[in-house]
Amino acid sequence: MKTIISAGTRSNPEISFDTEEKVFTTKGISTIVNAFEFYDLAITWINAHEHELEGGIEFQFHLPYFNSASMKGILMLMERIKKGIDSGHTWSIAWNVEDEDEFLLDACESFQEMLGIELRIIRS
Amino acid sequence: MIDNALRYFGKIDEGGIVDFVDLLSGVLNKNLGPRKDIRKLCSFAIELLDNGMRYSIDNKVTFTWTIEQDFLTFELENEASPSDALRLQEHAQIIHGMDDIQRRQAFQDQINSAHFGEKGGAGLGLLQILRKGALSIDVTIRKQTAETFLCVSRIQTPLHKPVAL
Repeated sequence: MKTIISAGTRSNPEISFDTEEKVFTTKGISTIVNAFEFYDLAITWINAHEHELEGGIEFQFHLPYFNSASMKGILMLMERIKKGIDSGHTWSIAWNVEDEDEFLLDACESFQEMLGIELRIIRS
Repeated sequence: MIDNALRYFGKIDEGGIVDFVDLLSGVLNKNLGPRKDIRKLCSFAIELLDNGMRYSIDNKVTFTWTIEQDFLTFELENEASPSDALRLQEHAQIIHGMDDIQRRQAFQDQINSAHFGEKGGAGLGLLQILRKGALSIDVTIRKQTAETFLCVSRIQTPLHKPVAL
Protein backbone atom coordinates (compact mmCIF):
# COMPACT_ATOMS: atom_id res chain seq x y z
CA MET A 1 0.00 0.00 0.00
CA LYS A 2 1.26 3.43 -0.92
CA THR A 3 0.78 6.27 1.56
CA ILE A 4 0.99 9.77 0.13
CA ILE A 5 2.73 11.93 2.70
CA SER A 6 2.70 15.02 0.52
CA ALA A 7 1.01 15.23 -2.87
CA GLY A 8 3.21 16.44 -5.68
CA THR A 9 2.60 19.51 -7.80
CA ARG A 10 4.54 20.97 -10.74
CA SER A 11 6.91 22.69 -8.29
CA ASN A 12 7.09 20.35 -5.33
CA PRO A 13 7.82 16.65 -5.24
CA GLU A 14 5.50 13.88 -4.15
CA ILE A 15 6.59 12.21 -0.94
CA SER A 16 5.23 8.73 -0.38
CA PHE A 17 5.86 5.47 1.42
CA ASP A 18 5.17 2.08 -0.11
CA THR A 19 4.77 -0.41 2.72
CA GLU A 20 5.04 -3.47 0.44
CA GLU A 21 8.11 -2.34 -1.48
CA LYS A 22 9.56 -0.75 1.68
CA VAL A 23 10.47 2.34 -0.28
CA PHE A 24 10.08 5.93 0.89
CA THR A 25 10.13 8.11 -2.24
CA THR A 26 10.66 11.82 -2.83
CA LYS A 27 10.00 12.42 -6.51
CA GLY A 28 9.59 15.51 -8.66
CA ILE A 29 10.85 19.02 -9.27
CA SER A 30 11.47 21.07 -6.14
CA THR A 31 11.38 24.83 -6.74
CA ILE A 32 9.33 25.59 -3.66
CA VAL A 33 9.58 28.82 -1.69
CA ASN A 34 9.13 27.27 1.76
CA ALA A 35 11.54 24.36 1.50
CA PHE A 36 12.01 24.21 5.26
CA GLU A 37 8.30 23.67 5.92
CA PHE A 38 7.98 21.20 3.06
CA TYR A 39 10.83 18.89 4.06
CA ASP A 40 10.10 19.32 7.76
CA LEU A 41 6.71 17.74 7.06
CA ALA A 42 8.49 14.59 5.85
CA ILE A 43 10.73 14.60 8.91
CA THR A 44 7.70 14.93 11.17
CA TRP A 45 6.07 11.97 9.38
CA ILE A 46 9.20 9.84 9.88
CA ASN A 47 9.32 10.80 13.56
CA ALA A 48 5.69 9.76 13.99
CA HIS A 49 6.02 6.48 12.05
CA GLU A 50 9.56 5.44 12.91
CA HIS A 51 8.35 2.20 14.54
CA GLU A 52 6.71 1.19 11.22
CA LEU A 53 9.86 1.78 9.21
CA GLU A 54 11.54 -1.50 10.02
CA GLY A 55 13.31 -4.03 7.85
CA GLY A 56 15.43 -2.58 5.11
CA ILE A 57 13.72 0.65 4.12
CA GLU A 58 15.24 2.49 1.16
CA PHE A 59 14.72 6.24 0.94
CA GLN A 60 14.79 7.10 -2.76
CA PHE A 61 15.25 10.62 -4.08
CA HIS A 62 14.37 11.39 -7.69
CA LEU A 63 14.61 15.16 -8.10
CA PRO A 64 15.36 16.25 -11.67
CA TYR A 65 15.64 19.93 -10.67
CA PHE A 66 15.75 21.69 -7.32
CA ASN A 67 16.61 25.11 -5.96
CA SER A 68 19.28 25.64 -3.33
CA ALA A 69 16.71 26.17 -0.55
CA SER A 70 15.37 22.72 -1.43
CA MET A 71 18.90 21.32 -1.35
CA LYS A 72 19.12 22.47 2.24
CA GLY A 73 15.71 20.93 2.99
CA ILE A 74 16.72 17.64 1.32
CA LEU A 75 19.88 17.59 3.44
CA MET A 76 17.76 18.08 6.58
CA LEU A 77 15.66 15.08 5.57
CA MET A 78 18.73 12.97 4.77
CA GLU A 79 20.26 13.91 8.13
CA ARG A 80 17.12 12.58 9.83
CA ILE A 81 17.50 9.35 7.87
CA LYS A 82 21.16 9.12 8.85
CA LYS A 83 20.15 9.61 12.49
CA GLY A 84 17.93 6.56 12.07
CA ILE A 85 20.77 4.57 10.52
CA ASP A 86 23.09 5.61 13.34
CA SER A 87 20.53 4.45 15.89
CA GLY A 88 20.37 0.96 14.35
CA HIS A 89 17.70 1.05 11.64
CA THR A 90 18.51 -0.82 8.43
CA TRP A 91 17.76 2.20 6.29
CA SER A 92 19.59 3.33 3.16
CA ILE A 93 19.45 6.27 0.77
CA ALA A 94 19.35 6.09 -3.03
CA TRP A 95 19.79 9.03 -5.39
CA ASN A 96 18.45 8.96 -8.94
CA VAL A 97 20.67 10.27 -11.74
CA GLU A 98 19.28 10.69 -15.25
CA ASP A 99 21.59 10.56 -18.28
CA GLU A 100 24.81 10.74 -16.22
CA ASP A 101 23.88 14.37 -15.60
CA GLU A 102 26.58 16.55 -14.04
CA PHE A 103 24.24 18.55 -11.77
CA LEU A 104 22.69 15.41 -10.27
CA LEU A 105 26.01 13.60 -9.88
CA ASP A 106 27.56 16.68 -8.20
CA ALA A 107 24.62 16.93 -5.83
CA CYS A 108 24.95 13.25 -4.94
CA GLU A 109 28.65 13.73 -4.21
CA SER A 110 27.91 16.78 -2.03
CA PHE A 111 25.29 14.92 -0.01
CA GLN A 112 27.61 11.94 0.49
CA GLU A 113 30.38 14.24 1.67
CA MET A 114 28.15 16.18 4.06
CA LEU A 115 26.46 13.09 5.49
CA GLY A 116 29.53 10.88 5.59
CA ILE A 117 27.61 7.93 4.15
CA GLU A 118 27.37 6.37 0.72
CA LEU A 119 24.27 6.92 -1.39
CA ARG A 120 23.27 4.22 -3.86
CA ILE A 121 23.05 5.78 -7.30
CA ILE A 122 20.10 4.72 -9.43
CA ARG A 123 20.91 5.46 -13.06
CA SER A 124 17.97 6.05 -15.38
CA MET B 1 26.13 37.34 -33.10
CA ILE B 2 23.29 36.26 -30.87
CA ASP B 3 22.32 32.64 -31.47
CA ASN B 4 19.33 32.58 -29.19
CA ALA B 5 17.61 34.97 -26.82
CA LEU B 6 14.45 35.28 -24.80
CA ARG B 7 13.12 38.17 -22.73
CA TYR B 8 10.22 37.85 -20.33
CA PHE B 9 8.49 40.47 -18.23
CA GLY B 10 5.74 39.59 -15.81
CA LYS B 11 4.75 37.71 -12.70
CA ILE B 12 6.85 34.84 -11.45
CA ASP B 13 5.96 32.02 -9.07
CA GLU B 14 7.11 28.46 -8.34
CA GLY B 15 5.22 27.01 -11.31
CA GLY B 16 6.52 29.78 -13.57
CA ILE B 17 10.07 28.76 -12.74
CA VAL B 18 9.25 25.20 -13.86
CA ASP B 19 7.87 26.62 -17.12
CA PHE B 20 11.13 28.46 -17.73
CA VAL B 21 13.19 25.37 -16.98
CA ASP B 22 11.13 23.29 -19.43
CA LEU B 23 11.61 25.90 -22.13
CA LEU B 24 15.26 26.57 -21.41
CA SER B 25 16.28 22.91 -21.27
CA GLY B 26 14.59 22.35 -24.63
CA VAL B 27 16.28 25.40 -26.15
CA LEU B 28 19.70 24.42 -24.80
CA ASN B 29 19.35 20.87 -26.08
CA LYS B 30 18.34 22.16 -29.49
CA ASN B 31 21.05 24.82 -29.72
CA LEU B 32 23.95 23.10 -27.98
CA GLY B 33 23.22 19.46 -28.64
CA PRO B 34 23.26 16.74 -25.99
CA ARG B 35 25.48 17.66 -23.04
CA LYS B 36 25.80 16.49 -19.47
CA ASP B 37 25.58 20.00 -18.04
CA ILE B 38 22.15 21.14 -19.30
CA ARG B 39 20.62 20.79 -15.82
CA LYS B 40 23.50 22.70 -14.27
CA LEU B 41 22.95 25.58 -16.70
CA CYS B 42 19.23 25.50 -15.97
CA SER B 43 19.97 25.50 -12.24
CA PHE B 44 21.63 28.91 -12.66
CA ALA B 45 18.37 30.24 -14.08
CA ILE B 46 16.43 28.58 -11.26
CA GLU B 47 18.52 30.34 -8.62
CA LEU B 48 18.16 33.75 -10.27
CA LEU B 49 14.41 33.38 -10.76
CA ASP B 50 14.10 32.06 -7.22
CA ASN B 51 15.71 35.26 -5.93
CA GLY B 52 13.34 37.30 -8.08
CA MET B 53 10.33 35.40 -6.77
CA ARG B 54 11.35 35.83 -3.14
CA TYR B 55 12.43 39.45 -3.17
CA SER B 56 10.47 41.21 -5.92
CA ILE B 57 8.07 43.58 -4.18
CA ASP B 58 5.38 43.12 -6.85
CA ASN B 59 6.19 39.49 -7.83
CA LYS B 60 7.25 40.75 -11.24
CA VAL B 61 10.60 40.21 -12.93
CA THR B 62 12.27 40.89 -16.21
CA PHE B 63 14.26 37.80 -17.14
CA THR B 64 16.51 37.48 -20.16
CA TRP B 65 18.70 34.71 -21.47
CA THR B 66 21.11 35.08 -24.33
CA ILE B 67 23.28 32.52 -26.05
CA GLU B 68 26.02 34.33 -27.89
CA GLN B 69 29.08 32.59 -29.29
CA ASP B 70 30.55 30.64 -26.38
CA PHE B 71 28.59 32.26 -23.57
CA LEU B 72 25.23 31.87 -21.93
CA THR B 73 24.03 34.96 -20.07
CA PHE B 74 21.10 35.27 -17.70
CA GLU B 75 19.86 38.62 -16.46
CA LEU B 76 17.19 39.25 -13.87
CA GLU B 77 15.66 42.60 -12.99
CA ASN B 78 13.30 43.09 -10.11
CA GLU B 79 12.22 45.79 -7.71
CA ALA B 80 13.09 45.09 -4.10
CA SER B 81 12.98 46.75 -0.72
CA PRO B 82 16.08 48.80 0.16
CA SER B 83 17.19 46.28 2.80
CA ASP B 84 16.86 43.28 0.44
CA ALA B 85 18.61 45.14 -2.39
CA LEU B 86 21.53 46.23 -0.23
CA ARG B 87 21.88 42.74 1.25
CA LEU B 88 21.93 41.21 -2.25
CA GLN B 89 24.64 43.60 -3.39
CA GLU B 90 26.74 43.02 -0.28
CA HIS B 91 26.35 39.24 -0.55
CA ALA B 92 27.42 39.28 -4.21
CA GLN B 93 30.48 41.40 -3.38
CA ILE B 94 31.50 39.08 -0.54
CA ILE B 95 31.29 35.88 -2.57
CA HIS B 96 33.03 37.51 -5.53
CA GLY B 97 35.95 38.27 -3.23
CA MET B 98 36.27 34.62 -2.18
CA ASP B 99 38.51 32.04 -3.78
CA ASP B 100 37.25 28.53 -4.55
CA ILE B 101 38.24 27.14 -1.15
CA GLN B 102 36.50 29.97 0.70
CA ARG B 103 33.37 29.53 -1.40
CA ARG B 104 33.36 25.83 -0.68
CA GLN B 105 33.68 26.51 3.05
CA ALA B 106 31.00 29.21 2.95
CA PHE B 107 28.68 26.79 1.17
CA GLN B 108 29.30 24.08 3.77
CA ASP B 109 28.71 26.52 6.63
CA GLN B 110 25.53 27.89 5.11
CA ILE B 111 23.94 24.57 4.16
CA ASN B 112 24.73 23.08 7.57
CA SER B 113 23.30 26.01 9.51
CA ALA B 114 19.76 25.50 10.75
CA HIS B 115 18.85 28.99 9.60
CA PHE B 116 16.59 29.83 6.66
CA GLY B 117 16.02 33.49 5.78
CA GLU B 118 12.76 35.20 6.73
CA LYS B 119 11.60 34.80 3.12
CA GLY B 120 12.55 31.13 3.09
CA GLY B 121 15.83 31.47 1.21
CA ALA B 122 18.88 29.41 2.11
CA GLY B 123 21.48 32.03 1.15
CA LEU B 124 23.07 29.47 -1.17
CA GLY B 125 21.93 30.46 -4.66
CA LEU B 126 24.69 32.83 -5.76
CA LEU B 127 27.31 30.71 -4.02
CA GLN B 128 26.12 27.64 -5.91
CA ILE B 129 26.22 29.49 -9.22
CA LEU B 130 29.83 30.55 -8.78
CA ARG B 131 30.90 27.22 -7.28
CA LYS B 132 29.44 25.38 -10.25
CA GLY B 133 31.41 27.28 -12.82
CA ALA B 134 29.73 30.55 -13.75
CA LEU B 135 32.30 33.04 -14.91
CA SER B 136 30.78 36.01 -13.14
CA ILE B 137 27.85 37.38 -11.22
CA ASP B 138 27.31 41.11 -11.48
CA VAL B 139 24.77 42.75 -9.23
CA THR B 140 23.85 46.38 -9.57
CA ILE B 141 21.21 48.21 -7.60
CA ARG B 142 19.66 51.59 -8.24
CA LYS B 143 17.39 53.58 -5.93
CA GLN B 144 14.04 54.27 -7.54
CA THR B 145 11.89 55.59 -4.70
CA ALA B 146 12.29 55.80 -0.93
CA GLU B 147 10.84 52.28 -0.71
CA THR B 148 12.21 50.57 -3.80
CA PHE B 149 15.46 49.72 -5.50
CA LEU B 150 15.87 48.19 -8.95
CA CYS B 151 18.13 45.14 -8.73
CA VAL B 152 19.86 43.78 -11.82
CA SER B 153 21.66 40.43 -11.44
CA ARG B 154 23.65 39.17 -14.41
CA ILE B 155 25.33 35.80 -14.73
CA GLN B 156 27.62 34.75 -17.52
CA THR B 157 28.82 31.24 -18.01
CA PRO B 158 31.05 29.75 -20.71
CA LEU B 159 29.64 27.10 -23.01
CA HIS B 160 32.83 26.05 -24.71
CA LYS B 161 33.44 22.98 -22.59
CA PRO B 162 32.53 20.04 -24.76
CA VAL B 163 30.61 17.53 -22.72
CA ALA B 164 30.03 14.26 -24.48
CA LEU B 165 27.25 11.92 -23.46
